Amino acid sequence: MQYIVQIGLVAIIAYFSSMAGDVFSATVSGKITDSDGNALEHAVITLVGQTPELISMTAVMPSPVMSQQDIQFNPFVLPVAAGTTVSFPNRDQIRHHVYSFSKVKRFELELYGEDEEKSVMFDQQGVVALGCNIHDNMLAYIYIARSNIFAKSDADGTVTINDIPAGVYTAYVWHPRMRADEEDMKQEIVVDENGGVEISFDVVLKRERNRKRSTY
Amino acid sequence: MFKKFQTKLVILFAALFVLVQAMTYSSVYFATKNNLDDQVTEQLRYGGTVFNQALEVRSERWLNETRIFSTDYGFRSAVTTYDEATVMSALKNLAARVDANLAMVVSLENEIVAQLSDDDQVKFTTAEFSQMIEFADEYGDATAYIELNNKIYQYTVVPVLAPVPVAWVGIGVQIDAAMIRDIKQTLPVGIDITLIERMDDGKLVPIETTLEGDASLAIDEILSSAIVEGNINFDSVADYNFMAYKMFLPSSLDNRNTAAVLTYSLDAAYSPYMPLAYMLMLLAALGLVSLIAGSITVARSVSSPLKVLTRAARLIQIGRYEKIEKIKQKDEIGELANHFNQMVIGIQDREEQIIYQAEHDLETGLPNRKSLEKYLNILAENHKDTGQEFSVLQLSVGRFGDIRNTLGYETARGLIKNISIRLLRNANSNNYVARLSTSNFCIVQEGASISDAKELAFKLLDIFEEPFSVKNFTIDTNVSIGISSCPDHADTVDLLIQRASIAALHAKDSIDRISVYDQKIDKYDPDQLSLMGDFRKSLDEGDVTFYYQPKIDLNSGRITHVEALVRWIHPVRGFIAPDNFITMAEQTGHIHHLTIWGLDTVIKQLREWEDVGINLKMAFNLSAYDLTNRKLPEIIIKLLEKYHIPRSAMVFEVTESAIMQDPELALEVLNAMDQHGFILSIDDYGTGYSSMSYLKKLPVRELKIDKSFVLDLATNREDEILVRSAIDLGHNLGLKVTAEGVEDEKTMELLKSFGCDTVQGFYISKPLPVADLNDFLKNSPFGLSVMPTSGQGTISQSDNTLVRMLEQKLAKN
Ligand SMILES: [Cu+2]
Repeated sequence: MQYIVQIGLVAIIAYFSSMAGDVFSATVSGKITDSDGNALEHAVITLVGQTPELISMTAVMPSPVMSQQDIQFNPFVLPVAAGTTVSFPNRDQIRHHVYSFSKVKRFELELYGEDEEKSVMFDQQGVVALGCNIHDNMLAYIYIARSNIFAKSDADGTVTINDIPAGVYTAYVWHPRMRADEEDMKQEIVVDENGGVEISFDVVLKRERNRKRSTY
Repeated sequence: MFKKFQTKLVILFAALFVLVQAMTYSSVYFATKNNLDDQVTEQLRYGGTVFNQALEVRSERWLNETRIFSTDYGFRSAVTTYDEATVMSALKNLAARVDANLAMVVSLENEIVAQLSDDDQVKFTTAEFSQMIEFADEYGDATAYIELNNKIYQYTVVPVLAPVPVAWVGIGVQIDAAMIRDIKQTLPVGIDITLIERMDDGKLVPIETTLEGDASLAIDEILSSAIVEGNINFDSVADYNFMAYKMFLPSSLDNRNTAAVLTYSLDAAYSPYMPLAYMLMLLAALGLVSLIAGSITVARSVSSPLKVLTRAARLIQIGRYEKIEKIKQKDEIGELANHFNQMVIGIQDREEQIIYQAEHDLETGLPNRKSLEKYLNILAENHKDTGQEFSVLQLSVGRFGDIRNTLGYETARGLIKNISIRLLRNANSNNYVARLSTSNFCIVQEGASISDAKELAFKLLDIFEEPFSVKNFTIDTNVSIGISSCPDHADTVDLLIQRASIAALHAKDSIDRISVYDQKIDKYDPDQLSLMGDFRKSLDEGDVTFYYQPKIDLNSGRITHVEALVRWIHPVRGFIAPDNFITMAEQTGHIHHLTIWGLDTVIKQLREWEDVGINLKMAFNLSAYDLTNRKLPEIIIKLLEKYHIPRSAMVFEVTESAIMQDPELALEVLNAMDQHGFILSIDDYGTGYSSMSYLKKLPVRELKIDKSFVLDLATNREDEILVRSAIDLGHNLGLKVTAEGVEDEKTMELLKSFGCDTVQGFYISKPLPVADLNDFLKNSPFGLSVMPTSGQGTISQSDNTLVRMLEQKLAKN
């Protein structure tokens, strides 16, 4: 369901950009693996155009959702464009106390019951780690992308971005456990009018946090 | 020696005991020690585990407390907003709650956000943290032991999660003396804990210890001893014996600078066993003492009786027979002592017996020759000092050998016994009677002159007049006595005895049967020995010659025979008795030569007479030696042939005693002579004990009655009966009978009337040299002119004897 929304989103972006620029658009396909070669989910690829017209290109963003369901955030990673308002619906019957101590956006939402929904607007590029003051194991990330062209990898570690106007882009990758700095991972890609561009990232991950020890 | 034995025994037993004890003790010691060491090792390992757990428990608690603290919303809020005051107050709160000595918050950028310490000297820099944070970033949290200012802190670092790490919070708790004392309480008793730190310069420094007192003084040395982690090391420092177990404190980090050494005092471990050890040693010492005492007792029980026995044995060695005191021990030694006493008695008895046997003649109980010599020695010594004289009388029993051969040894012994009894009974108080040899006795007379000795000799001859009665036999004895006297004849014992012997030998042939020693009669005298040297010379120079005594045939009244009698007229000494030099010749080996010379001489003489028309037969005396010479017949035959003299011209006279020297060989030689046709004659008939039956066996044809029977024939009735019966007997046996010792006409007439065949004696003629005989034969045709006689004979004992003998023998036959 999520993927459909995502793909739809990308398609719309592609559509509008082709309409606006009156140019042909192409598809950028990404393949993201970890250092062991396994497909890496929850990675976000952002393309940043190197020309002003590409940078200024904006897109209409639907209202993204970070719900709390089954004492988990959903989705685990939510990439958004800057200035996007994300709603935080509580779909559990128990209470949650969602907080962020991230510099990008500090907030706390006390969600006392089912279907209670609050929303927060994220205006600054960066990563916001979400926690719940009640449930320590609840963790999610809102990734405020540095452009409007981005997509999140699926379980196969693939990312597809359609209708990309031809031009030169810088491709960034981000993952919650990525060890390297985003700037160190960036790649330059050239999108021409005829056909797609393939891009791949090998991401070295930090060790997965031992959640068990912190649970008691 | 006994001391030695005792010492040896004691040392041996003690050494064995000590050895056994040492073996037992050491095996017990090592078994116990090994067991204890094993136990201690086990305890140490266990203690190490417990110690580790104790630290883990604490570390876990601090970790949890810190983690809880780190998730406090307000704290996280304060941290994320860099609200230092709030953070500091929260840290204080935390430190108070977990008794932490240090607390701090470090940013993700490794900058210390806030820090508090109860020790101004102890401030953390992020240098100590960086490793821990790295570890915690990777694994979620980190604990480590870090030394600061000679204190060891256990550090715990956890992230401040919001919900991702936004900072690090750490606490440090000092592992202080109180804490390790607390931990010590949970360890097995006896284990002490020492915390050590390896400093940057590599030096090991003790930080905290539960060791107390002297042991704590050894800490530095414990550290310097080579303790390898995980191993149990035995070591001893000064007087402190311990086992040590080294372990690094559990740490998240790879720093191995902080360790705990667990020590176990072996003295403490052994102490419960020390009383046992002392008890064992005490028992061993007591055992040793009692063993030494016991073995001394045993050794004494052996050595003191042995001492007694040795002393007694030494006494026996020097001839003192002392019984030892009864030893009460009932063991082998007691038995030995008893047997020793019995042995002493036995030796004493035997020695007495031996001495008695050595000094006495067992047949008679008289002192023997050895005792006699001893006694004479005393007298000889006494003579030297006082000049007192004494005499030795040797009494010889005549013909003892014949008596023994005839009547048997037992009878002979009985006779000797009786003789000894008779001698003792009649001896004076100053007489010493001993048996010198088989048939010789010796009587020593003290303080007596030669005439006194002679007097005693006559008295002794008197007591032998009475015949002896042994078993059923009545035996007449024929004794002769020789006398030597000190100092007249000799002053040494050997010579005195020898010379008495010589005198006795001489007395046998003398008329009164008593003879006092004279050098002249002593053929053993050194002078006499030179005599034999002269003998050969005398033979060659004609000093040895034959005298011839005529024999008359009573039927014809004519001289038919002469008896050849050898004479030696020594140029210096004059007449020497034939008995003497013949015996001498026998002893010196000249006898063979003498015999051949004699035979040659007499046969040559026969030839000479024959040549001048004198027809005589020659009687020649054969010695005992001649009768042992098997070649004798051959020699005679050759000589007879040499001078062309018929064998019938010779008559050979042999005495019974000569035959008795070696009867078998003599009989063989005599038989050979007889077979060669020689006439044999028994000489000195009546002086021996030959039975008639024995005479019958001899191949003799003539019987020559001894002159002792004939001398007094005219006046002695017994002799007359004897001679008559002897003549009858001879005739009955087919023998011719000759009587010698005819000294008067009446005797000759009597013999003629008895039927005696031939006679010889001084009445007819004494032995004459050949020239004189020739004259005699010329001047007294058939030699019938009677020569005067001077012989005044003594009455012989033999007469009676022979009569009785003959009577007995005739009765037996
Ligand atoms: Cu919650």
